Amino acid sequence: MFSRKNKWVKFLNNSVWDYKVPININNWWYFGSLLGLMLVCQIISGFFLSTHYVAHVDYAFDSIVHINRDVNYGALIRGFHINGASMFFFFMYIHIGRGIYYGCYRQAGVWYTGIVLMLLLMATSFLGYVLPWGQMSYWASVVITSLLSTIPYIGPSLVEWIWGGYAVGQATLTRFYSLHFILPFIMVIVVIIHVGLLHETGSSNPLGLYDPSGVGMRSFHPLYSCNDLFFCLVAMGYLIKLSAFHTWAFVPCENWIKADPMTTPKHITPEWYFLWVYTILRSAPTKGGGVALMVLSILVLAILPLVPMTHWQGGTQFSPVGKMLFALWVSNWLIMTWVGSQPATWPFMEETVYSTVIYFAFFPVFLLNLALKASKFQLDRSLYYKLWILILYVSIMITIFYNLPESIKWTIEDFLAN
Amino acid sequence: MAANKLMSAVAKLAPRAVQGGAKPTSMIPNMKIGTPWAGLKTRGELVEAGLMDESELSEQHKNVFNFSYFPEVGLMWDDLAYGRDPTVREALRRLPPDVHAARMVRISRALLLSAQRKVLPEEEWTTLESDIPYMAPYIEQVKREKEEMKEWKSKD
Repeated sequence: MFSRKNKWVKFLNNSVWDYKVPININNWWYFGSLLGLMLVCQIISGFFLSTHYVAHVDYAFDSIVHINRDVNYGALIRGFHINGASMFFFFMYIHIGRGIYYGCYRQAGVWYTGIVLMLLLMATSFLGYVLPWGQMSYWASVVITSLLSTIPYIGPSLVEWIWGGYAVGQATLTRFYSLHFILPFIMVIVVIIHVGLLHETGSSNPLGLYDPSGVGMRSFHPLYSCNDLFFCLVAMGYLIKLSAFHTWAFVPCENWIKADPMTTPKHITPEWYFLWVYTILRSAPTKGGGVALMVLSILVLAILPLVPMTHWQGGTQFSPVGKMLFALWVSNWLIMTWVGSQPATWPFMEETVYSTVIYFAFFPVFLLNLALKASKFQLDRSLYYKLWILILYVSIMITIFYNLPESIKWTIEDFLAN
Repeated sequence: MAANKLMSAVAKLAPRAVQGGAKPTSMIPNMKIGTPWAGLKTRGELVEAGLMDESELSEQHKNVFNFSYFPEVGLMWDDLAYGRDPTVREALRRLPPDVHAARMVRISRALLLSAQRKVLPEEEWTTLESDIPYMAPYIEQVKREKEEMKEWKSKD
């Protein structure tokens, strides 16, 4: 029955046991399986929470208090769920960064299913954040769902349709609970597609080289299965430490207050994993512009496989300039995460603009650098330097414009209008 | 059979190649890395013969080449061609067997070095002058054929 001649056993054997993995993969490659682990943890802990949670505006907050105080190990399970979500995002950002750095986006199917998973995870975590029905939960749901009103023509109707009424209320909470329950299972299906597509082409490696001879490949078991198990145990250990000793580190203090539609918190900020998106949202002077930039900030990842790298393997491992650009981009992302947590005053509002410009400018500059390198040292130096000067010039102009005194700004706008 | 011979050749030669202070060894019997084979010339020789512009060996190109890490693991520029790209796959199919085997050996050696987090001794690093653009003619050939095919099909 378990003979390797059995087609199902053979399939499983080739997908897991004897799946060929490059010998030189480093620690950045383990975050994929860690993400799978976190998904399973979230589903299990979420299931146990769902047996005690009540999706009613009057009882939701109290049911959370009941879970914390009365349910056996309820606080611990809730801690697993909250901190598990943070770890999930932490691993996901590292996973994406690995993909950009090592050029793994050349496997387009895997990359695009990964973007879908990213969007699903963001949606799931937002929906889950609303469920405790604390002050921050309620007002975060109001802010984020209201953003959809910027969609032309259908925006306001769409928002009311999502709310299930004229404001965030009972109908909203119930449907958010249902969606939060079902989306992880959709994520499981997309994960299976993601891994299946990966197994079609095989895993990439730090050198980005494709080795059909098989000399540099090893079976997944026992080398990588044991490595994955080790890292999973480390991650679980860290999750337990966070949940046991720093259970509420990621819970804002406003969320310990029951939702009050009549009282708006002073600073509405999302969880740390959305702060960079929040920075981009706040960088534009108009609501619609902010929403458009926010959506683009995730969809911009989709252009990576489309750039014609032609016959040269993508990735920064052989491009010193690419490495510097990547380091700048990651630093900028960290700054964006910090700036998003700050109030909407000087100097943070100006900083949101600079960091958004750097975030978006990274992609064409990074990809152009790789594409130029791919043209086999036929570097058109003048074009290369012209591009750098152009980007510098545009950045300076945007910076100056935003720092100009108001009187001069109005003069320029009047001139352009006339 | 041929793959087994190749693997045993790599297994025998690779350890010596990565030990510090070892005498430079060639991965291909009777051929040094960078020695032209199958009539191919290095970049240095192509520039001397006037088949390549002198600016190919400029200081800027040398710096870009030397700081790119792949010479430290004994790879050539054409070894970085993306093996899953259809054009490159066809070009690889058309490579002479000895050139293809040498490419596989260099790639395998680079993967083994990368796994051990090591690099070759400095005297074995590829240099811009010793780099051989062995795949460029085949890639150009495949690209031209694809363009011709496209032109033919557009006439239908």
